[in-house]
Amino acid sequence: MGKAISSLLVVFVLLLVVPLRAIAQSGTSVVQIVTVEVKPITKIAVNGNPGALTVVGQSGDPSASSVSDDNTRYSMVTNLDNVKIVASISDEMPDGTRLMVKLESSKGVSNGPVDISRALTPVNVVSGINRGSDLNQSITYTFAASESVNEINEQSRVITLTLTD
Amino acid sequence: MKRLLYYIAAVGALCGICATQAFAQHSSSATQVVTFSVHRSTLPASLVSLSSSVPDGRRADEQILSSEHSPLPRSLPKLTVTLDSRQSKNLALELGTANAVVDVKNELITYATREPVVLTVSD
Repeated sequence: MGKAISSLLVVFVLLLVVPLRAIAQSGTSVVQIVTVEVKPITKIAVNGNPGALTVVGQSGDPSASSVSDDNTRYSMVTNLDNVKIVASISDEMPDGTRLMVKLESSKGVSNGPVDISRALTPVNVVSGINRGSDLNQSITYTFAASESVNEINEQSRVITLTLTD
Repeated sequence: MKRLLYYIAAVGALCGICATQAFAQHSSSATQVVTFSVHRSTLPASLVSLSSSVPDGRRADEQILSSEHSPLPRSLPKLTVTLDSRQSKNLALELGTANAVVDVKNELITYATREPVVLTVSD
């Protein structure tokens, strides 16, 4: 009799425990830390060099004093706000001549034609550019020679355009 | 004590790096080469300038005959021509067959780009 009671007790306990195990949620957890970072991006590119800027004509003719080229373009992208484009020249222009550059901009404010004849240190050509991209914007170079300049053989200057904050 | 010094040095280095990062300028550059020159003629303004007004396919002698002659002696009018090398070659070939022209200067076929060339022609 005692044995039977013990067996019933065991069965009862099992019946009680098994459903509890079934209902109970089980699981383990682990934690990972994911670190993300977006680096500052500033990129600018141009699509080549402008054509030769040649002032021709007769001396003393004021109509033959400057020539322009707007055949090159630039593209830029940035994820920063309030960046600018500055321009500098490798060597100063000869006396009696001027070189100006104008950059079109839909993301910032163009400073119009900027004289870079003596810009050994960079000068602003576009300012107030906010995050985003600006594609295929025109670059216009204007070369001007005073009437007193009759002859300058072909020379070159390297113009550096820098997108910076 | 030594370990403390290591800690101080490490913290100092980290602060330096962080400050540099915070104030670093972010920039990108692109370069262009600009080529320029000036070629101004000192010839008298009374000379006729055809410039590059001779279009392809038209007879150069027609252009010249219809152009205004300079007030030089009628027996020896002068023309000033500013042409690129291709146009110079075309004009030289056409002038070679034009009855009105008795002398085309050799300078015309030296292919000097945008250099003024003086032609001597008869009427």
